[in-house]
Amino acid sequence: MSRGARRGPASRYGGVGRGLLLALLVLIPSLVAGEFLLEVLPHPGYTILNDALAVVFGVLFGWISVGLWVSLAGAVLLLLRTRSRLKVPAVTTRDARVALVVPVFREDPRPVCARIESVYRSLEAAGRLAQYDFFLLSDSNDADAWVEEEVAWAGLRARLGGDARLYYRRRRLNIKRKSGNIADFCRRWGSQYRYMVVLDADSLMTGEVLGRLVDLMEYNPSVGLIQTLPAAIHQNTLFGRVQQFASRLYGPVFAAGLHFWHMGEGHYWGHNAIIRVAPFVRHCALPRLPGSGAFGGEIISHDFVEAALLRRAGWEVWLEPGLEGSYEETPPTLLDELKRDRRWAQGNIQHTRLIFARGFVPLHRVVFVNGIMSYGSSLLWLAFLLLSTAEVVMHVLIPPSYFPRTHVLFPVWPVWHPQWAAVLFWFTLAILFIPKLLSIALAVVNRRTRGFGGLHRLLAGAFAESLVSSLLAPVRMLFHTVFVISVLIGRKTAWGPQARGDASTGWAEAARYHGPGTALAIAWGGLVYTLSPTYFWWLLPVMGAWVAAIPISVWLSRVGPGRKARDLGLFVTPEEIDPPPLLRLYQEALAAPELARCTAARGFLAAIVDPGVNALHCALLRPSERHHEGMMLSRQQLILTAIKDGPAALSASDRLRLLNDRDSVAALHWRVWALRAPRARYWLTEDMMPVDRPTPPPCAQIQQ
Amino acid sequence: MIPLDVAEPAEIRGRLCAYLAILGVERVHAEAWAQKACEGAVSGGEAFARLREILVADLAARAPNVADDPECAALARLSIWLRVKPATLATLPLTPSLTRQPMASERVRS
Repeated sequence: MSRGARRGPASRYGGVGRGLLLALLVLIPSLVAGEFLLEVLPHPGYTILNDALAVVFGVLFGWISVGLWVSLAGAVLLLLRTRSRLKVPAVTTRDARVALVVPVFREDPRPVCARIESVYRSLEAAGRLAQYDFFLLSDSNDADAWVEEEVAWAGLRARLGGDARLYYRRRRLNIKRKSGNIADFCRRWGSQYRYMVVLDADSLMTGEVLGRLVDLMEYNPSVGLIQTLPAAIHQNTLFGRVQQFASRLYGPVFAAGLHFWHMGEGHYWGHNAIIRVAPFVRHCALPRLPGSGAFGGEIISHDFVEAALLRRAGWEVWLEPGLEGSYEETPPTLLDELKRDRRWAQGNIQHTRLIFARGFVPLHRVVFVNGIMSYGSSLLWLAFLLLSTAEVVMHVLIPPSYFPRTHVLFPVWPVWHPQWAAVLFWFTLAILFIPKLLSIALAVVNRRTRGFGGLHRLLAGAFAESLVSSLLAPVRMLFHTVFVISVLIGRKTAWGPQARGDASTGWAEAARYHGPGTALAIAWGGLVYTLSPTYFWWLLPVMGAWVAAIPISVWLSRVGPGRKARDLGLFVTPEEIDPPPLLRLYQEALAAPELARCTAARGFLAAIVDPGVNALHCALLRPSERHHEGMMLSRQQLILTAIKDGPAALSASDRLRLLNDRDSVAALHWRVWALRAPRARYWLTEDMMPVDRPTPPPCAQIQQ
Repeated sequence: MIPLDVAEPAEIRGRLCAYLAILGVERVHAEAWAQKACEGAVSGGEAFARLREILVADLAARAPNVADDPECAALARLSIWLRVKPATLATLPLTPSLTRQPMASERVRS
């Protein structure tokens, strides 16, 4: 990789010193915890097993203690109300051109356009609209999705007025997925903009925050990227509401902590962030990793890598937790979250290749490790459970060796110290729960409890959330372990659209996904209970969660319990108590009438039969180029097949091929409208050909 | 060989009228255009080809600077469907002019 300008003006914000301090704070307790576990274990004979247990436990202890130190730092920052190290501009300049880009892949275009409309109107209200151009960047590889995107975009243009600078672009080949989509924008139009704001299909940002981001970038010329902390919104399922509540309550503390530890070597999460375009274009071209399998090919989790590349080139990357007005939606169900995690797991584990790549700053290497551990820790946790079970099994089945070493005068008794184990257990729990307690305390101190329904409801919500997260943690662990193993053995995951809105999980689907875990829990738990009933109770929180996973997953995915909780004031968030104007704008945009279409046809069918939609699609396509003779014949054959046998005879790729060629779409449209009734009925409904029904008057009579 | 297109004059005219009505053309115009398009047309395909020419000519009369491809008659139809000003119509499908710049991939040594 080219070196770029390293250690530029951002070096004063380098986080090496803080990184070393954090490493010490994590490593020392990890060593102590591992050593302590060795003392707790009853059997002195199985040294390899004991050592493995101690090492795994030490690593896991270190991993969870990272969260503690991050939240502690964040809590101190928030307590002192010193949220940001970035300079605040005194005077705003408004000459910088900004592109707001929304990459989409087979999303429901109606809510996407409603979000764009609300951001547009919010920018207008903030007086910052003149700076912004909007780009809806489609990567959809489905004919129906493509056409519906175009119609939704045209409807939005109609609502916003003819002067709205809102553009639609679809890539024919979605090379490198989202990162390739953004890169394609940068190549085509990037040089016309100083900054770009990347929003996901479910993102929202207020005009004030968007303006503020531009001001911060203008006033801090060494900053290449500022990431905001998006608050979760619009959740109705119980699972979604619990996650929304947790991220809103605990998220700011963690984000402030990350801001403290990482300084100008921070995170990029791929959306709700502003990027300086020129250095991004120059330094953030993503390579194709050599080799095949899960570790090679295109970089899947591109955002961490782009942040690391920017920083490597000397540009600061900041996580800015103090900007309120950045929102996103989260997966509505546990299974949807796990499907997303499957992709993220692969992307993060792929970063193993980059940990030792040249030029990255140490903290971004830590970010890679952190991402890997987000999923790898599950494997370690399961390993810990397996090793501890093996320890118990051996303890029960194999007589202890009272003289494990030669030349000793006294026997070594296997002594179990349950009170020490309890101390270690409670200490571990404390490390897990202190960040939550800190967040609650800060909400009280900073008078933010009203936003969560008041103190009592906040406490009740936090307690219930802790119960739910305790139940879900073992389930997530099992899935993440499977994901990691499948990545390690080289199985790749497909790129599918994200589930949004109020999805729910059916019993059959839940049984299919959670059933194996339930069976494993029954077998494992039964074995342990038979051999050592005492140890069984230690395993119960994990095994119990696996056994109950199916009903829990189904129940949490339901909207009914979620709404009931909301009616009780449980899991409410500040955005629900006092909705910001942006969210009201979004609801208004969502409720606005759709663009009136000529026919009831939708998707591909509309692109062929609907005079308006066909015209729109033709207008948006480039004029057909002179094609190879074989290609032209192939397209004509497709048109004939469509005429002869109707749309059902066209495969998904046939439909895309037709829609990609302007002449073909236009030709098929006109041919379909001119077809005789039997074949026309493949395409047109009865109301579209009224005089094809009995006894039409001859044309000559009408003329007379 | 059985012709694919409608061939009966009444059917052609009815189909044209239905098309224009669905597109949102005013009744007076629709009838006149349908009659003009189907005069002497021996098939539906021919009638619709004439209709395209009529639509493009109508747009050209209203907005001489807005060109349209006669094969697609896309902007002409859009101007009727969306009822937007011709100047706006012409910019509807456009994106900002391309100013290409390279963003070449790099290799990682890991």
